[in-house]
Amino acid sequence: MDHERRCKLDVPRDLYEKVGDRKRIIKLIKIGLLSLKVVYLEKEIADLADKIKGSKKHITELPHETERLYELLGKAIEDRQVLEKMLDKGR
Amino acid sequence: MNIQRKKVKKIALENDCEILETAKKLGISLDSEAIRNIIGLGMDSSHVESQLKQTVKELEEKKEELESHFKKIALQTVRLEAEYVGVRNQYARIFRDNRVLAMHLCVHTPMNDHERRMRDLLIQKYIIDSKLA
Repeated sequence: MDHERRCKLDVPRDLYEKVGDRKRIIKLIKIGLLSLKVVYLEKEIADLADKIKGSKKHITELPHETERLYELLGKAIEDRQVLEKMLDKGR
Repeated sequence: MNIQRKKVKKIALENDCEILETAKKLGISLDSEAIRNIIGLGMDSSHVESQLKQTVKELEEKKEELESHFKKIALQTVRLEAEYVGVRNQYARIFRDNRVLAMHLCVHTPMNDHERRMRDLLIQKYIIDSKLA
């Protein structure tokens, strides 16, 4: 009973009369929904393509940034050795 | 209320319950106004149902492909970011240590010119410039 009630649609009467028959109404609803689905999917695909593009750019830049940090780290380690040596001498 | 009821005609979907499933997936309600708009879209469409179904199928395949590609890139990103953050934290820790050591160096008397230059350079780098940054 519940299933039956759920499987009924309220079609505006003026539209129903304009189209004329149930089968054509159902067909138009199906086509309308499929058109909407196409639009939604196209948008999702475009968003995904943008995200991929952004991520690709990010993963191209990251190794350079990491490399730059490794250089800074190496220099900071050298500095620490110098600092420790100088402070040891002063004791 | 009766007037409102007369404005719509209830039609049974019978074996066409896929309409409900599609609407649910799209997150749209199927009240009479929504149905009016959907029928409007159907009337405006220049495609037949089978063409649209084929297009949906192709787009879903493309979406799946892109999602899979994106997941692979996301994994790569996570790995690279983890390395970046690791090095950055290590650098920040050593920089802070050096800053403390440079502060100790401020009260240190240099033994020669070379040491004086080196001392001034390190104080400049780890205390003065670091404050400006």
